[in-house]
Amino acid sequence: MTTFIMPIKSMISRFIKRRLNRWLKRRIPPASKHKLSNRNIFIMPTRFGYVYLIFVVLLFLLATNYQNNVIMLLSYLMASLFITTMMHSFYNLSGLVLSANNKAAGYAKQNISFPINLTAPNKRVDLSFCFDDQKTTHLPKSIKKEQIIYVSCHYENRGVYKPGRLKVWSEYSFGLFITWTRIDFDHQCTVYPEAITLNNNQNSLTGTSKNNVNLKTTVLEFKAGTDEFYELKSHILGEPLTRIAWKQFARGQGLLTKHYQKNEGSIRWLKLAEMPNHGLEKQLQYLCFLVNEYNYAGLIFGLDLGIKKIYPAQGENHFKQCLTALAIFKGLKHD
Amino acid sequence: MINGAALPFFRKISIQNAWTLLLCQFLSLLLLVNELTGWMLAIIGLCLCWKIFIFVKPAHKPQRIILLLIACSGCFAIAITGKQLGVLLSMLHLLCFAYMLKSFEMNSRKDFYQIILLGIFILASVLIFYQTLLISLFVFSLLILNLSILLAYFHRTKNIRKTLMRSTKMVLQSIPLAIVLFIFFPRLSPFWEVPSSKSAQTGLSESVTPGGIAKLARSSALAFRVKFFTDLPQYNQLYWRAMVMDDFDGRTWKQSKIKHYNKQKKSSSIKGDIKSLVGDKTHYQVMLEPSYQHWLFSLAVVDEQQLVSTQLNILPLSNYTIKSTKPISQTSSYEIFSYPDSLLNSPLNYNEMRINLHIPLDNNPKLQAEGSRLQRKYSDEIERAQAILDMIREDDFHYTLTPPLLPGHELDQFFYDSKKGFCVHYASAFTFMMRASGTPARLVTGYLGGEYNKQSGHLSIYQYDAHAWSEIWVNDKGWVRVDPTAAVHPERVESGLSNTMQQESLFNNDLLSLHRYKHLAWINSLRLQLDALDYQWTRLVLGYSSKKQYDLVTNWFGHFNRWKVGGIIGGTLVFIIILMWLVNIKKSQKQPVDKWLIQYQQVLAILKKKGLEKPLTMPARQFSLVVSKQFPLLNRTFSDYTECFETLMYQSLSLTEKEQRLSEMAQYHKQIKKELSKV
Repeated sequence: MTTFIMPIKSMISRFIKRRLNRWLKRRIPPASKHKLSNRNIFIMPTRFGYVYLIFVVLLFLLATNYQNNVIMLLSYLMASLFITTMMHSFYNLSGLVLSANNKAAGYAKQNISFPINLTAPNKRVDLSFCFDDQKTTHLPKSIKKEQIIYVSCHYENRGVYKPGRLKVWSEYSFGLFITWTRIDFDHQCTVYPEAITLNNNQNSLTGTSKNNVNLKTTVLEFKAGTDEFYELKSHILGEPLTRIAWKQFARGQGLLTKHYQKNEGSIRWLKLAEMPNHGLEKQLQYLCFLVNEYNYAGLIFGLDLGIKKIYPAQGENHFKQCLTALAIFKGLKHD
Repeated sequence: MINGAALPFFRKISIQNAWTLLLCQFLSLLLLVNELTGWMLAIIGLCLCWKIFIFVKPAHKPQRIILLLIACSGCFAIAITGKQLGVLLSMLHLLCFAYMLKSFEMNSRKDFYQIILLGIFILASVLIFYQTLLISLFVFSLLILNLSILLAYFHRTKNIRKTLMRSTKMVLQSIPLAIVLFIFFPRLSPFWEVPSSKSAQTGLSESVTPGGIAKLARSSALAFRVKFFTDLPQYNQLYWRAMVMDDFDGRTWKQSKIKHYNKQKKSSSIKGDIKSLVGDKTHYQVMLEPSYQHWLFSLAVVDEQQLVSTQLNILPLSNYTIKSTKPISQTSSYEIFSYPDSLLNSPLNYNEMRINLHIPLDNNPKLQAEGSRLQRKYSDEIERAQAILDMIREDDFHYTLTPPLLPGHELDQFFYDSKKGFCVHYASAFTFMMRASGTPARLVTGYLGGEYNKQSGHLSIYQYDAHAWSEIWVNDKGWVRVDPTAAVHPERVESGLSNTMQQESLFNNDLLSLHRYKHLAWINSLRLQLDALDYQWTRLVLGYSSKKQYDLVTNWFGHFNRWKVGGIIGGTLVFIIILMWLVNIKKSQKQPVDKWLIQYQQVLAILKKKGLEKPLTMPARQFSLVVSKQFPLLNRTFSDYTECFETLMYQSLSLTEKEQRLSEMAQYHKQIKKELSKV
């Protein structure tokens, strides 16, 4: 029986969802800034809200049967409070202004957070934020002015994702109502492959080029002596933050960057073809690790994915570009 | 839409909130102390202590199995005592027990919600037992406390006062609609029979021994209130009849059982006899406090055809008293018409005559002998009565609430030896002697007098107004009231127990009662004011009925109509929503203004009055130069003031710095104001 019902059920729910999304798209079109008002706020009693109503009816019955006016007054007061609570839960959301940048990036199997800018005209309480099927960020109390909230996403695999509409909701004041909105920032999330450490012992890199040896030693040396830097130079914008000498900065000597001896070595190519043959995804994950390590070490490197090549360079932009290439890589076509 | 992550997840309630919850539980259950049995109170007390212990040492959490064991044994105990307690009290016990135990098990939101709703239900059940203004106010404030606990879950703040204020505000905002609903929402008649509370009976008891009422005289609890629609009768005419005691067994006065058989016939025969109601009529409404008894109070003679009550089913009896078919378990009221000048002359049949003349044979021989002597001496019943009253008046009798205990022939001993007694002693002895002299006589219990409250114009009758008197059968007049107490202690009959006597009698109990401090004028006036408030509460809220609702609607809106009522309620709802909407818009538009800005603008306003206006574009610093030119007296202070203002306005300061600046600025502000006023 259930085998028949389940698909039908899921079909119906999918159909409803689609219709709903279409309606939502018209009602709340994507934008980079949303002001919450009666146009985009929805409000419904929670389960507790319904139980509360039943409870009020029960009190009314009790009062009627005992012909007790004070209990009756109590039940009316609670019924009236239901309405008041509805208004208050609505006001708790209305007037909020949310804005966000529509792009974010991060690694697979890690939390990727989207910064959302929240402006409240006055103090609001018990706000929750989440994307569909993702973790919830709870804000117990907003401050009067602008603040940034990080809403996280979590993806298992690399790629480019659309987390969909951001759901903002609150159960203030008494949990009787859930007030919510689903606003669309047209968010896009680039998910890089998970960085997996390349194990050197079982590292049987194909091809015995000199690059390979270099690569191996770099990784090894890097592991052995991270602290053995060559010199400190003043920080230039765009240099990786990880190499800033924070200790010196804390002493007030200004921003200095650690420069390693190997820094000025020969130009390296990170090649997909040279990764151990554990499947494409694994290879990309190794590459991701190496890109990270190289960037951390401040090396100049290039990325060769066979059909896509990123020429050797250095710095944050290059790093991002490499990672994005890994994230969206579709696979070797000609193989 | 409410899917996935939106499912309620449970955040542990804060420790402060948990304490508040405990306090709330304690206070709610405290209201039911009188209703709960000793062992239940003990369990609740232990649970509370245990809860406190857990708060102090969180490691000692109770195990599930132990809780289960306690729950089962508790339910078992309630089931066993169920028969004795009655349905309502058993349910109440179960409710309180669950309320207490539930607090040990708070693992999900559901548990938390349950405990709040249980708490509110307990508050509602308190109202089944008590409906006075004071208790009701207490219950409503506990409702607010419950809501605050609920609110604190969603609005986490350390400041409990803020949460309380917030929930109070919300409750206050809900009041208008609640009142409209209360007034206009259709009132229904009970759907099914509910178990009524079987509390201990209060007030007059169904049998009286000399000294019995003296206990009652020590209580300052309210018995009932009366609102007169016609003129207030004299104090000494306010004999509130409750019960007629005509069965005497030598020691105790009771109501004869035989009455019940022929009361139906009798009452119908009286109904045909309307002519017997003569003279002016007195129209009044009686508001009873719950006594858990059947007896109702009235002045003689009641017009049976104009008994009006929406809450009670009133039965007139042949002995001119009235009775409710059900025990009075909550504040209820009825309206009656009495004809004080009419006679109580429904004819006595043989049986009644026999009962009203009966005295046990060798009981109180001295009084019996005295009775026969009177019978020989006077042929007229009135003369006989007068003779006894003269005896009491002339002899050395004392009126006291603490009469000595009298073993043996009580009335003889009282009349010839101790000569100290309370109203029942005098009434008993008198009735006994009248019977011995061959005159049908009976004892009547009830209340005498009442306290007139000038503020609200009602009469409050307290338990200490309880009284007993006699009625004798006079051939052409019927039952005639004779109050022998008047012979010994006329003040009692003219104006009530004297203050000193009350002081003496109330000495032992009711320490908190304001009646104890009647001699302090301000406390007495406060007491009367509270009484007036409680009276209004009883009249307006407790006494509100479907009949009053109908009258009110027809009065205000003309013809009573269903859609009219719906319209009123709906209209109020819309009105309130719009009002709240507008208030919210105004609130969100209003930008929060900083304190210093307000202060600065105040000073600017003063300067403007003095003829110096700051152009909008001019910076504050520049303006301070202008000011010092104009008012050299202000020179230093104003420039310092401006500096303070500018730092506060344009620099980001830490909190302590800010406060320091603010206090400095406030000082300058005062100085400037002072000096400007001199200019």
